[in-house]
Amino acid sequence: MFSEDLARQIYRCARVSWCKHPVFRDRGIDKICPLYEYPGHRWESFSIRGIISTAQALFEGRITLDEKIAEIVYKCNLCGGCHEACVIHFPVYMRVSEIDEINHIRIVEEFRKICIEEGLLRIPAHRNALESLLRYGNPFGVVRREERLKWTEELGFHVKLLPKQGAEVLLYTGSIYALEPLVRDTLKAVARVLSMANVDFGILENELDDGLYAAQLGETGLFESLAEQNIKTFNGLGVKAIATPDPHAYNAFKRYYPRVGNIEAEVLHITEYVDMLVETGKLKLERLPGETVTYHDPCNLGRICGVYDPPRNLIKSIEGLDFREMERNKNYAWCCGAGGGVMIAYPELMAWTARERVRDVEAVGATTLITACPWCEYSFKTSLESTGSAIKVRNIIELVEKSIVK
Amino acid sequence: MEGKRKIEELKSIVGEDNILDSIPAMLTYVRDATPLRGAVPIAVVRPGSTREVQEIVRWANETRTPIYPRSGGTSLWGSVPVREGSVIVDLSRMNRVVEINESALSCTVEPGITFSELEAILSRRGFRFLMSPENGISGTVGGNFVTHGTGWGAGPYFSNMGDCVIGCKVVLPTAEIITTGSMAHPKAHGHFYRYALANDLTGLFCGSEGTLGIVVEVALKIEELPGAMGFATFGYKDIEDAGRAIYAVRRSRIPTIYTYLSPGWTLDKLFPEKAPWPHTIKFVLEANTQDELDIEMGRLMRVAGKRGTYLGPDLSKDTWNERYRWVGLFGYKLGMRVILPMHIPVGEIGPYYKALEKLAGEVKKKFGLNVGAGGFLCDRSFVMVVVTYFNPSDAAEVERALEAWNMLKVSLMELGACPYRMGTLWADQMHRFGEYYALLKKIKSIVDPNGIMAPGILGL
Repeated sequence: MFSEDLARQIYRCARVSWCKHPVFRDRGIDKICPLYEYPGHRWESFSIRGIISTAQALFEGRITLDEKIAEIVYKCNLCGGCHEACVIHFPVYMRVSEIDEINHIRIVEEFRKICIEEGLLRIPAHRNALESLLRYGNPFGVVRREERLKWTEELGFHVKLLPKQGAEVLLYTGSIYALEPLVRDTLKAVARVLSMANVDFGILENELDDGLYAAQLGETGLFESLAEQNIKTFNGLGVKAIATPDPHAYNAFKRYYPRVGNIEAEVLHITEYVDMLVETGKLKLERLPGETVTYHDPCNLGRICGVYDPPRNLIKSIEGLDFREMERNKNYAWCCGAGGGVMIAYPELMAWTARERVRDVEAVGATTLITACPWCEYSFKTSLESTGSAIKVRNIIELVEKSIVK
Repeated sequence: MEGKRKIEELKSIVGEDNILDSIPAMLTYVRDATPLRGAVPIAVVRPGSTREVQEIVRWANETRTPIYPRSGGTSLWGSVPVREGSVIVDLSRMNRVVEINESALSCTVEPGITFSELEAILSRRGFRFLMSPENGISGTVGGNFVTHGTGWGAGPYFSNMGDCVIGCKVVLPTAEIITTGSMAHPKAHGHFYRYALANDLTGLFCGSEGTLGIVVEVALKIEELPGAMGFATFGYKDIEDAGRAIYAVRRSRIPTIYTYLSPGWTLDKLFPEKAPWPHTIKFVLEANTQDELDIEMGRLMRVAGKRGTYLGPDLSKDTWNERYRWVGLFGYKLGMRVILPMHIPVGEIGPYYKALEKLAGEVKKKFGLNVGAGGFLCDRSFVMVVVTYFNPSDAAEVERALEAWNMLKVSLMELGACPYRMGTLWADQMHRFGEYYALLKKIKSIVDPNGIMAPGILGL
């Protein structure tokens, strides 16, 4: 059942429906919610306004959930677009006093938790992912832990393995970078960039998933268990900083782990860390061949954690790149579609959402779509493949690596 | 068993993808933007065409199933299903622009299009509509028409949507389709004149709130985008002076498209850090040319400035630029709210607001709730907007807010203020309108002999 705080929040919905309508149409933003906009959806029940109505009835004990509701809440990619559009948080005006905040993402996660409790999580892909997280520490069903280290074999240099060896910085790779071949090049680029900047870094010999996936699917107990183990591991390493290229891990460490415990080291997204290396002169970037690029803000990094500038700083540090901002950017960015478990359970919804975003890329005439998240990379790469688009998808760190003055 | 059969029959009309019958998923459809909750229907259907609407209505007649049309679902007066076992007809899929007829300066749209969507389409052609509700983001043309809504654009020449509509197409409760205005003539070239033929049947549906049929097309007047716009804000020490200023501006036919009064006692609650506030009026003007605007702004300065202090253009300009989002400030800064919009004569603003301030004190004393107020010019009328704030997480306070809402509505009506946008909120008061209500009921019984259309709304 909803916690006391969330129970209060669900009554703060003003029902003005901005969560399903283009609140910022006059600023070129014509869609807010992928879940609602997806062809065939467009039922109010597929908007957060609809979800909250159901939540109220559930809280008041007036209904029991059914499979339709489970389908709706598990199709949400937890992008937080509705949160930005919500009248209660509307940024033109100062924050309201008596009714302060609605955390839309938490409400959906809580709903999912109730679905699990009531045996309504019947999506095989999610059930498998959760089982895999429990048994193997990753959501992709990879049995052997050593698989997570395979990418280092192609580096050509040794990466320290913690905790056997000591290092100042832990590079937390995240499950998807370590295990998904389609995005693994980014991880290699990250390691090479850190190495070229002479950063004393290492990776975990036995890295465990960050657990965000479990939290987002509503499996709170599993999340807490993973978080507890990770916090214990991290705090035993003696590292000064933890840098991760995965915004989902970053979001987990920054916003979810405090519910369980405290990470002693500073947590940074890799773009923040590398931006700092450039800023302090530890990395020097040179001109790249001219290319028109744009940047997609990953929801977990941008809208949810507020990291907008470091990736842009890096793009702007590389001469030769013609950087064009998409109309829907920063907190108003349209999602890539992969978050919240949608990538695994509803690949068609993910692909549609990504293709919608690619229209924004085309609108500004960019030939390269830069992002800073493995889930976004995966979503865009697979979705573009099916359309035959010539747009290239790159992680900002790959471009940084290319431009480093060696 | 009967419910299942009905759902199968509806599926054959709108298709499997356009019917929803999960009770938890339908709960959002039995609410508008008030705390009121309606009866859960057996299904929500989402027709995509006039033909499908016609089929649904025909089916509803045959099966004697109550149907409730719905578009944006953001009403503030309890537009919720009253009867059990109903079907909600969600018109959000019907959101197309049917025609932009430049020769008649009109555009015909389906009911589910929102004002912000239509604005974007029209502005690309150099046109605009004349009026929109304050929440033009999710407010729909169909919804605003059937509730004869008013809002941005109201001024000396247009009071509400009725003044901005040329005609409409309606699926009647007996499934015939009627087109009103010039389009009732089978050879007419589009919607260009509302009062063609005999009676103004467009007016029959404007304000009917779904009780007389389902509006499937609305023809709106459109105009070219204005050549120049002007902004000015004035402050007044006395509410009577503020009221006199609005009356004088209206009487002088200064071309305002927005004249908004915020009583000082409301602004003090909203922005205590800057209290005490004067009674503040924001004016927005439009003209064809800058020269014309300069003349009109000069007149405004003289007329509105006679008893007040000029506070500059910014407040008005900011409000206009954020007009569709402005509801965020007034509506929610002090908590969740219930709103009561009432029409009063433009020449009696001062006395009414004084009376309202007294009522606000009574609500505070009796219910412990804050009441705020605003209001805007609407031709010869002034819409007095009364807002009661409450904490939505406190069930007892919500109940008190609903009680206060009802108390205010009755008290203001006793003073002569006229309700509009009635929904279910005013159903219990309709008997007080005597023969007017009796005629409405007669019309309803003729047009909707089986009583299937939105029963309970407007007390019908």
